[in-house]
Amino acid sequence: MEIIGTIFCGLGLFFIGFRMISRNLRQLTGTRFKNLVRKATGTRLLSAFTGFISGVIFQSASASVFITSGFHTARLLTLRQSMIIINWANIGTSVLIFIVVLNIKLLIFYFVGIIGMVYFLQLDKTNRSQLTFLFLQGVSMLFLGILFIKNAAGPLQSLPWFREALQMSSGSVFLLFLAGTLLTVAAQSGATVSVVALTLSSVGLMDLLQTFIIVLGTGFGSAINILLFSFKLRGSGKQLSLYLGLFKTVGVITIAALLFIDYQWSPDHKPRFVSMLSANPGQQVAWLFLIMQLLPAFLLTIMQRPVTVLLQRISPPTSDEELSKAAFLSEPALQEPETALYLVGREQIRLLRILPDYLVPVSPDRNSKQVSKLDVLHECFELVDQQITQYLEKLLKNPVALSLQEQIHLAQHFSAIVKDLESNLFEFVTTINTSFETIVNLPFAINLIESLRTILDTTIECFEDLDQEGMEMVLRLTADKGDLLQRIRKDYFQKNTSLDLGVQQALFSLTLQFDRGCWLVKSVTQIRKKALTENQ
Amino acid sequence: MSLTLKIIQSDETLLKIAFTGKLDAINLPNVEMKFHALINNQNSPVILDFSEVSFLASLGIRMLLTAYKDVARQGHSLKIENAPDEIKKVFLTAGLSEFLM
Repeated sequence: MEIIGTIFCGLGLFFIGFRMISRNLRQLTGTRFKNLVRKATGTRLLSAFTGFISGVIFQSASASVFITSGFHTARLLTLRQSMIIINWANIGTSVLIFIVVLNIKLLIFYFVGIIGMVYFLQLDKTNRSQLTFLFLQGVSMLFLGILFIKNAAGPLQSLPWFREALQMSSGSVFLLFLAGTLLTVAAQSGATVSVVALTLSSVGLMDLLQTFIIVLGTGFGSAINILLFSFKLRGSGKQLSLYLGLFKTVGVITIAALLFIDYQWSPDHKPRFVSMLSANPGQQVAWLFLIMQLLPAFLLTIMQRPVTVLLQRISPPTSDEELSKAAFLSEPALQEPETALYLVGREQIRLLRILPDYLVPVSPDRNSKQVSKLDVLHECFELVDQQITQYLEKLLKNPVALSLQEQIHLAQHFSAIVKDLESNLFEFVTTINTSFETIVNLPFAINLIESLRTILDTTIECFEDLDQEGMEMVLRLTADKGDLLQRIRKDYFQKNTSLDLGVQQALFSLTLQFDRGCWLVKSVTQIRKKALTENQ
Repeated sequence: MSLTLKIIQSDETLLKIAFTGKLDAINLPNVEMKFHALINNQNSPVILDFSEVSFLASLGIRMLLTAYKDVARQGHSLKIENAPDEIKKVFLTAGLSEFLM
């Protein structure tokens, strides 16, 4: 039970770590950090080097995939760069067999200790450093999880019944392959299991061919690992997992074919192709493992284009991913400031279009339209908002006419208020979610929700149609309503005295948030109207 | 409860329509086109009787706003009568009472 519990705990830590990496990495994506990672993977050689080092240190291609997925989903790495990293991460894991297993336990312990010291000494004072250390904390949790799983796999392997089963299976090719597969699934590292197999082989429990078959099984086990972990992934994140699964499968098939041909042609039915590389049986196992990484890396690199197309077809970007990518901003357009500013305007409207969707899940009409979850919409909004902000900053760095500079500043002001509006809307919906079942059925809350949806939809429509009359109407719709709302709320509380205090407080907050929302809509409308007037 | 639309009066002086039911995303598609066609084919003031309306969603409000603008372009008014208290509060909160009531 304890072994199962340890493995379960390890899986939990692994997923918590992955989530922390992904979430904090996105928030860390500022221009400076992007440039740093971009430098590390700017060329194929650097990408290969980054992948190789990550494979050597982390001992697991699966872990490299999950970290790379985080960079890829945060748009710090392209699919091609990620594939190069994964190829070389796999090659990097083979170094461990050559130099016998690196003890990363100590490395992780020191890593966690250093992060703890950082928190103890309160060195994470700035927002950026906090995000950085949360990201590193995620990395350490991810690998603590792997250590837990590996540590549980160790005792598993030492259990008498397990060793007996392993010995019994040593005569059967299929059982040996299955043992390699299952141990790799449990230990989360094909390299580690290969070292175990090498050890058993060195004490005479298995011959060289049997060891080779176990190593083949580790390849298949790695493919299963990655498929299990990526089962719930969608879109770009899943593409890399599928790639690793393909990598491992190609490795197993090509080596199995080589071994089979070698076995058939060899007069003494012993594998000869690795014996040409080394006379030492232990090194032969290591060479086999390395060739099992090199062959698929070579083959998949040659076929990179069709593989990329295949991956994008099997797991295309999700609508949420599309939502978090700027649709109109174009780097070349920065050379034409007026065009760039026009594109910013389009992007800002597109961003505003997301906002009414925040209210759909809390509206009585909630089943009429499928929308993403609130936190996903929020993340998508923040990503696009960040891209708009960075784009405007780049635009200001170009030499532009004074009048255009003013328009850029106006666009920045507009973005800032839209961001406040989004935050306000997020808080509004979060307040409703605190007592969802109660609040969504209250007429007072429904009134606020439907009114806010109307105001947002009407505003966005006016902006899209450049309808100045419509904007005048919006300014009248969003005139000060503080007193009115207070009256309506008081009247409602007097007629519904059975409402509990928590709900009353929530309704009070909703009123304030609604009022602020109207004020922010009024502000963006005024800016938009001013920009429209100045352009005419 | 489905949504129905009944013409109470339709002549040169007035178009009066009574709605019954819920003006929400599920029911509106059934009547929206007919409603807009009636508005656009009529060149007179419009009164909408809301005495039998039980719920008004944002989509319904937007339909009314579009109709208001269309009628205003013709130089006429669009008003809502006999709205239940809860519907009136929605118009008040959304700032629409000065336009529609």
